[in-house]
Amino acid sequence: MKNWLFCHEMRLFFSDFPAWGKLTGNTAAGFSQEYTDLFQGTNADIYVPLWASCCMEKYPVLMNETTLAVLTFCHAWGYEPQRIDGNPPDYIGEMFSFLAYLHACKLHAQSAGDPAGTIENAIADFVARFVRPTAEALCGALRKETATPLFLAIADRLLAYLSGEESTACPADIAQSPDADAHASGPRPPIENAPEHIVKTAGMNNCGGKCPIQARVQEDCVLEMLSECTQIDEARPCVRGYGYRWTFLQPDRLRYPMRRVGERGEGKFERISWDEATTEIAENWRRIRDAYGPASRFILYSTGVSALMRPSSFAERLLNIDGGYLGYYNTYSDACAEYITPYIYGDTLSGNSPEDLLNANLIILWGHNPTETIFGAGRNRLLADCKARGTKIIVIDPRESDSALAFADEWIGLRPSTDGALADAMAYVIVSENLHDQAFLDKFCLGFDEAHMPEGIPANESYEAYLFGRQDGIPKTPAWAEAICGVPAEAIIHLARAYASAKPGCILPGYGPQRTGNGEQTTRGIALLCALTGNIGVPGGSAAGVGFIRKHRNPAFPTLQNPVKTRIPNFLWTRAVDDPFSLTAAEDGLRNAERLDAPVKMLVNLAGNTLINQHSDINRTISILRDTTKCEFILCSDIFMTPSARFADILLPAPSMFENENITQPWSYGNYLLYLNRATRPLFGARFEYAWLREVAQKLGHLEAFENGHADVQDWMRDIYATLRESEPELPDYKAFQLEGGFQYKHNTTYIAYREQIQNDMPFSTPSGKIELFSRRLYDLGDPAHKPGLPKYTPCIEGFEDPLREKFPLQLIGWHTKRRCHSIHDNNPLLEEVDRPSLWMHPEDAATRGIAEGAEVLVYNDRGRVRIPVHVTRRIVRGVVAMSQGGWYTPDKQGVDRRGSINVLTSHQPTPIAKGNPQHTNLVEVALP
Amino acid sequence: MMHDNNVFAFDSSRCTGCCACQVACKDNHNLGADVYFRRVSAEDGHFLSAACHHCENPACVAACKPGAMQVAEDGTVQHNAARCVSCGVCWAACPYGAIAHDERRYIGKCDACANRRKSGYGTACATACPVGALHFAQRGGTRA
Repeated sequence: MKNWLFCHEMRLFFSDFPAWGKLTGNTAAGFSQEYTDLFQGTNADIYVPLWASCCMEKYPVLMNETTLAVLTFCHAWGYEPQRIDGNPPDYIGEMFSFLAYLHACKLHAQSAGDPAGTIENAIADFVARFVRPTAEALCGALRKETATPLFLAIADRLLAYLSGEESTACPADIAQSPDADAHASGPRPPIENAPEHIVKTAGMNNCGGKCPIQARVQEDCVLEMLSECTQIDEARPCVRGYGYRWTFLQPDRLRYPMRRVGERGEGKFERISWDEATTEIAENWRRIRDAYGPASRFILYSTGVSALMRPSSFAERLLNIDGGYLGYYNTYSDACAEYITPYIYGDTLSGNSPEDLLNANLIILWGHNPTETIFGAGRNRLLADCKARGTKIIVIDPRESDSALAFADEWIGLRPSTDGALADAMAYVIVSENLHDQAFLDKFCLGFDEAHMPEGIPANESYEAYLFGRQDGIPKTPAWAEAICGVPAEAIIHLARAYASAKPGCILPGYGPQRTGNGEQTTRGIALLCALTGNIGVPGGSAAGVGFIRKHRNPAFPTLQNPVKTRIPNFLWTRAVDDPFSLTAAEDGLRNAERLDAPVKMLVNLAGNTLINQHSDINRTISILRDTTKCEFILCSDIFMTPSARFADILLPAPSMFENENITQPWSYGNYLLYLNRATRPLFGARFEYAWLREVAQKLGHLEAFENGHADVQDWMRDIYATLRESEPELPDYKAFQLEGGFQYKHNTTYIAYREQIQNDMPFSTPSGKIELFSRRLYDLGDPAHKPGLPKYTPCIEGFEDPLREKFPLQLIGWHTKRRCHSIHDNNPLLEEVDRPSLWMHPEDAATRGIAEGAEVLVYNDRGRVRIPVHVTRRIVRGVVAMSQGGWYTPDKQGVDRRGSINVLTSHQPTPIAKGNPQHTNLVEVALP
Repeated sequence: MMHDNNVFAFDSSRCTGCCACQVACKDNHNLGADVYFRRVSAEDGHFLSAACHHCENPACVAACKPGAMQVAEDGTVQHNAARCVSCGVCWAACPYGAIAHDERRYIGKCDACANRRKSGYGTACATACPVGALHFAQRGGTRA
């Protein structure tokens, strides 16, 4: 009886703390905050493991084969886990509930005079296999995290129970307990496990290669990512896909809705109900709208759910119904390239279909690292095929990236933010040696030479005049470029000749070179080379630019019209909070307004990490957000306590990709759609954003307009899919699409950018109808040093020529590592083994600073400090250091980041024209601490 | 005894170093911290994905006195836990460092996904390779 009492008490303690207090005569009331801190995740810095699957020897993960073993054990004895508070079946409270049930069965057997040996053995076996390791890990953590006698006593008594000591317990009535029937009539009949099945789902992170996933699932437990992902011919998961369980089912999930109780960013919260949460959200939205106007509300760029049913889209729809919000343009990915490509070609459709790579005689991956970034699920296989056919591949990058190692015949290492100088010198060689396509330039381009300039522009403003120094007296020779970009003049000549003579040659630029202080000019300089050599509009060539392609239609969620027309460049949102009225249309790229109507007072950040981690200058962002008089309300939803989530005023738990249904499609480069089937039910208190935004809509009086007849996401997806099918008749019916987990289009066309214009002599959509090498629109801005009419190299702030280099002599860049998709997967231990945080540094730079391989170093500038192990390697250019982007900001007590979070060191200074994020243009110094 | 002689075939000229094979293996076998049955490394300008080679004349089998390490009928080298005494001789004998072992006990090695293959699947690692650099094939024969 004592053992039953103890187990019953533990069941209560871990499921209903006030009831436990009542039973035991403890005053639980004063300890409820610490209780939720310890056992429900309301304190960002406290973690106590509570599940058998996370306390065994292996890496912790929820809902795995250990969970299934616990469940199977329970089922064999006729016990169906209650999923207490949404916990997995191997939750400590659930396991004690099961033990209480077994003890009740044993008491029944004893009172009926039956042999109780089998039940006793089962209890001993269950405790030894599952309860002991869990309780030991739990007690260890508890003793570290608390000094409160009430909780330490629980740890002591758990361990005493394990050592077989008679448990002390208070009286409870077994007849009034959940075990009454077991006590009265013994074990219930065994329950059979549901059979194992395969769930077809998909990755929906913001990478180019949306991958089909097949998970082996039984009884809600996700047992394995199968490598047989056959729903789509062209797409296969990369390393990240195979690691999904170890990311999304990590035990440090956000569990329940929370309200901030500490300072903003401190990570201290209290648990609240969903009703309280949605009421508070509705009240804040309405209050802020009424006090400051709808344009004081802002929805952050977020890509954690890169799929049709996207949390930020729901928020946009609801705010649009409620009067609107301040909009943005640009992305963190490709701001400069996407902004400036229409200045050259009139639109952003400057890419060729990936399979066209097979037609190229030479491929130049210019700052492009597809093996790690994953641009399209099939691109790496294509490049491997090109290599196998003998196509020459050159990689231009300050780092000898994995793509360079895998594919390149030649790696050309250059200094960051100097790509424009390299492009100019290549052009100089090509024109000097008469390797350019004069007929193409004459026919299709504006501004190459003096004979093809717009009317009214003075002499010597053409690109040719610039190349040969007719205005500034400086010919843009390979020697000139070598001094800037660091590539030897001989190599530049060789590269220029190789490209000009390839016919066709393909330059495939990545987005890294344009995330720089002169990213617009870099994009223009590379595109100029394509025009110069007549590689535009022909198979096997390329037009560079942002490189979108025309392909099948994508499904779209109707977010409705925003009544607020004002838009800011996305990257300037911190200024819209901090110094809103300094933003102007002329200087800062405001659209549809000369100045802002209102300061930003409310931030909505759903499934995103740009609130802190992925935005620049983290320390400055933090100081802006800490001031609660500036931004008054921050709403976040996520699956983990990310650096951004810590800054929420209301923080809500979302389900992971395993727990939800959705539709996703690759970036611009694939011919398929994927359907995410649900593998397991939402864990803890997680709810998809649509569900609770519907409640907010109701409280704002907008329910009817918000859902427009769609009670849940399934209703929306079915309708949107039906609409899509009208224009894409090849799609199967919705049921078949769901069942197959996606659809691969069979009828696809290979898209070659601007083939129509070139072959059929059609005008480009630019003002002149030509490819605008010279842009009158930019020229007329009257700022030739930063926004020139020509695609020429311009030095930039914190570039190689900046005098600040005397103080901070090293150029710092980031890269997209294969182990993360932006900041997603940073918590994944299997992926951590693939690529640990490190600062790449050239041996000569290391030697002059007395730094050896593996040493912990401080990387610093005026904005912040990062402490990180160094990797000394010749795979990076001298004078340049690099760390991968996306590590979760983890400050120590001195405010030094310990996780390689590069945005501690990046700047809020936007690029000149697009007002984009120059996150690879930073000056730093590195020293031993 | 006649063996099918199944082996891994790795084409380093196609490998992009993505580590999908390594992580698919670890996910499939639920391997914990710092335990690898297959591991990818970058050596001298190219990538290498390495696991147990399932040798024709395995040094580990020759060294294993209790007979825990054996060549199975399909030609793969398999470990029989019932016979293993965790003496560490196999670990010391393997010239490729393909056996996971610590001071106390034998941890494991590549079993060429014996269970998966029984269910009609391929090996997790080779099936996972997104660029076709890794295959599980018959020695000197066609790719499987």
